[in-house]
Amino acid sequence: MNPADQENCLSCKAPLSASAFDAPAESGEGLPDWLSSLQGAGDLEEGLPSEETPAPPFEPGFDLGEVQIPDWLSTGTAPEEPTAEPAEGGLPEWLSGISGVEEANAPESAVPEGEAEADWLSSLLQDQPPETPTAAEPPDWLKSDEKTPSPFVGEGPDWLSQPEAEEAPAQPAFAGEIPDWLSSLAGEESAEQPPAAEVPAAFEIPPVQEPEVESSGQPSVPDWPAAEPEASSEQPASGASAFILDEQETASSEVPTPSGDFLTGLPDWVSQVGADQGDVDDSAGEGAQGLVQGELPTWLEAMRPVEAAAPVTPYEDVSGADVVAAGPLAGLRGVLAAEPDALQPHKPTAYSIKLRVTDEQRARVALLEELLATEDKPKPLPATPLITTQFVLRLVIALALILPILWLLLADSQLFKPPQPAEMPGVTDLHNQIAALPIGSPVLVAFDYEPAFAGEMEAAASAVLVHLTERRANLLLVSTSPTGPVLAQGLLAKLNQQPEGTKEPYRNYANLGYLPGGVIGLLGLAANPAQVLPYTLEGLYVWDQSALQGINTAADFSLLLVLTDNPETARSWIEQVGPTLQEKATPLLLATSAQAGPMVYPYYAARQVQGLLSGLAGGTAYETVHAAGGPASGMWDAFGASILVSSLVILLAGLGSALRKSVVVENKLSTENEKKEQP
Amino acid sequence: MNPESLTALAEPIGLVVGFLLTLMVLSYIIGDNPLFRLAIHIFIGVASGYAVALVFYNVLYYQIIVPLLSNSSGSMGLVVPALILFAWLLTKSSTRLAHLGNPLLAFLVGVGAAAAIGGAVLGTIFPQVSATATLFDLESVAQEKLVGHFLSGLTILIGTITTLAYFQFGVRARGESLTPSRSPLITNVLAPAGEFFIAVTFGVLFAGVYAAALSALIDRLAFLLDVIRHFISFG
Repeated sequence: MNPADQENCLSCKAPLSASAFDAPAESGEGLPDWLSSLQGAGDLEEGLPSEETPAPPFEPGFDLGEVQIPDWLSTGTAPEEPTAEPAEGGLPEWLSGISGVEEANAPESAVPEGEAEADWLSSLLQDQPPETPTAAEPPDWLKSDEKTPSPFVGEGPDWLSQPEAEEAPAQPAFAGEIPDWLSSLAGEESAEQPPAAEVPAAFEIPPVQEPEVESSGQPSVPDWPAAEPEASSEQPASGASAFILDEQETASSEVPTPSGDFLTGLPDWVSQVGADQGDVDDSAGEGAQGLVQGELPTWLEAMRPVEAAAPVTPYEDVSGADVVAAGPLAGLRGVLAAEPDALQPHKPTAYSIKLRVTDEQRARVALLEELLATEDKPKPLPATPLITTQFVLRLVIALALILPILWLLLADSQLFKPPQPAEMPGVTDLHNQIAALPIGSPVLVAFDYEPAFAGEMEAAASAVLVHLTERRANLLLVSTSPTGPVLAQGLLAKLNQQPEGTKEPYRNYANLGYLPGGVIGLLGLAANPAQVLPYTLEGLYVWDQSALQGINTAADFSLLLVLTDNPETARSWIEQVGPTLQEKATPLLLATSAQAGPMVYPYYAARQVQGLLSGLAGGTAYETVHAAGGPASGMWDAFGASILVSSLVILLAGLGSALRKSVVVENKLSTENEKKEQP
Repeated sequence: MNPESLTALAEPIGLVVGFLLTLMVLSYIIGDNPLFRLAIHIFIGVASGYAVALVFYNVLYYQIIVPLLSNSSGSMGLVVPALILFAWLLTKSSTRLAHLGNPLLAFLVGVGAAAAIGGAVLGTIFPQVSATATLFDLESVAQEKLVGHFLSGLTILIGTITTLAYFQFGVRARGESLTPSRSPLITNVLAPAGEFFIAVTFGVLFAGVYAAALSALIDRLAFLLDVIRHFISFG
């Protein structure tokens, strides 16, 4: 707190009295920067009035040099004087509020905002003087104001609204207090600038407020009311509205600071001063009284911004903290790093991808690779000796078979007794059936054997065919095998060349060729042979011949002879054609290979086949019955010798195998015995 | 060269070719060799070619085309449906139209199966069962053949029963605690007896096959001697 006789503030060096506020003679000289800039910023003030509060009306005859010191200036130059005297003085309430604002703003530059608010609240709650400052003596400038009519009689401020002529008598009383620079400024601005722009500029004398005003009993008005007009721009300004505490912080934050561009942050309520002058005058006076006499209600006490009034944050020693090394906060100490270590780019750790393979696994891999490598390579066959035991044995057996056969064939001997017909079942019946054929009877002969068995089948069936030719039978040759027709043709051609055959070539036959369809073909042949096989291999239609007249089914033939090496083929003939033949008791005769004889014998035993001949033995027996030589008889000695050799080979092989086995067993036993004897 | 000369040369040429081919086949005695394989290939090729020529000439031509060209009413009634079925069956050769031939193939298979089954039942099973039963009809047998006929019938009966018992693999549970097993009678008596009959049957079949092979060998050796004699006599 400054002493009473102090002209300038000890803390902020602001002039505390009007004399101390005398400006230097020359404009701009010794003037604070903010004020000097204010002069130059007069242009900027044009149009600056708030959009919500219209600027005071412009009066062309205004002259600052002649008018009273504006109230804004008075509030700035005489802070220690009571500024509000709503009852007596002509100073309007809003001006006293402004002074209060100025008073609050002055220390605001030196103390924290919260502290300032605490001061005003404390003064409001505790230092509220029982009496209003109306009893105080007004300053000189106010006195002069008393002599003149209230500036707020009209709509605008007195210093703006009063004409220059009327202000002339009062000028001397105030002239001594007006600085020269202000006078000159007034003279200049009166001609160059509108007075509305001057009003805010006049408020740029803030720091002259003295906190001691509070000590004089004048309640300190906080800075937040400065924003009150803006917040309640739509409401008439009043003293009561300045105590809306819930807007206190907002208002305090909007108080313009003494900076170079403070004009831009000029509150709107300043602009409304002129417009609301009359209303504010009355309402402010009433509000001021209410403030003086009232007490802070409990609810307002409860809403006291304790946090705002709290002291500054405790000091934290960050000297030992780390200094941020990277990022936008680089160089700062005690702050959280913007780029923690986890986000720092760094080279990833390299891990080895090499497999850990043991020696055993390596060996297995090498073995597998070797197998795969050698898999594609052709493996050479083991070199076998040209002459092996098996080769020798095979050659010996072959020679043992071939040499006797060749010798017996060349010798044309009769060493082995031919088989008798009584010993061969079916041969006699076969011979009797053929012998019973009428001369020239139609006979159906099936050549159903393969070329591999032609030697056996031709030898076995030659005597039968010779017998048929002797009976002058009309032979119709068929085959269910594709190779059958050519075999039939070849056999008949051979029979014609045999010296034992008929003297003249036998032409009384027709080769009907191949019968397709298997069992279905046989069934069709049994039902209608002329329809199934109408033409011969030469393309002749033989069914219209006289010998074949009246043959509609297979049963119409005099005899059916089947030459086959396959028991299945024989069974097909028996099953498919046999029932048809039984209708007219047509005999079915079979001449089969030796391998098929045992399989077809049951049919002969069951009388489904009336005659049977099997293999070379059956053919020889037939030749014996027929009492005529033939190929079968010529081969019988060779056949017997080969059978004998084969039997001997089988016997010797069996004996050798048994002997070898016994020797092996004996050697094994002897070895075991030797092992037992030798510990 | 006139055809008669060709016919006259066909026989000695055929003899030489047959002689060489026979030697090539018999060369298998010393092991598998190219000559044997060449003879086998020649035989297969000639047989196949002859079969194709025979089927086309003997079947397609003389059993379908010639009757169709003869224009006889009886033949047309069978040939025209045969041609339709023939064309229908050719669809099986196309993978896209193969399904169209399924009905025809089903007809053929069905008819073939019916013919085979019918023939087996009526031509084999019933007559064979009847023949086996008549073996014990001793009244129709002469007195001097009575024992042999009875023993033959008894052997056939035992062989049939034991052979069927050998192929009886069914088991039956004989008690709650015992596992299912074959009858001891079947396992210990009938099955071994059936196995004996089967072995004898296979032995007889092998003997027949071996006899047939020996007959073929004798025939080929006789052919070689005849050829040699033929050329020697000409010489």
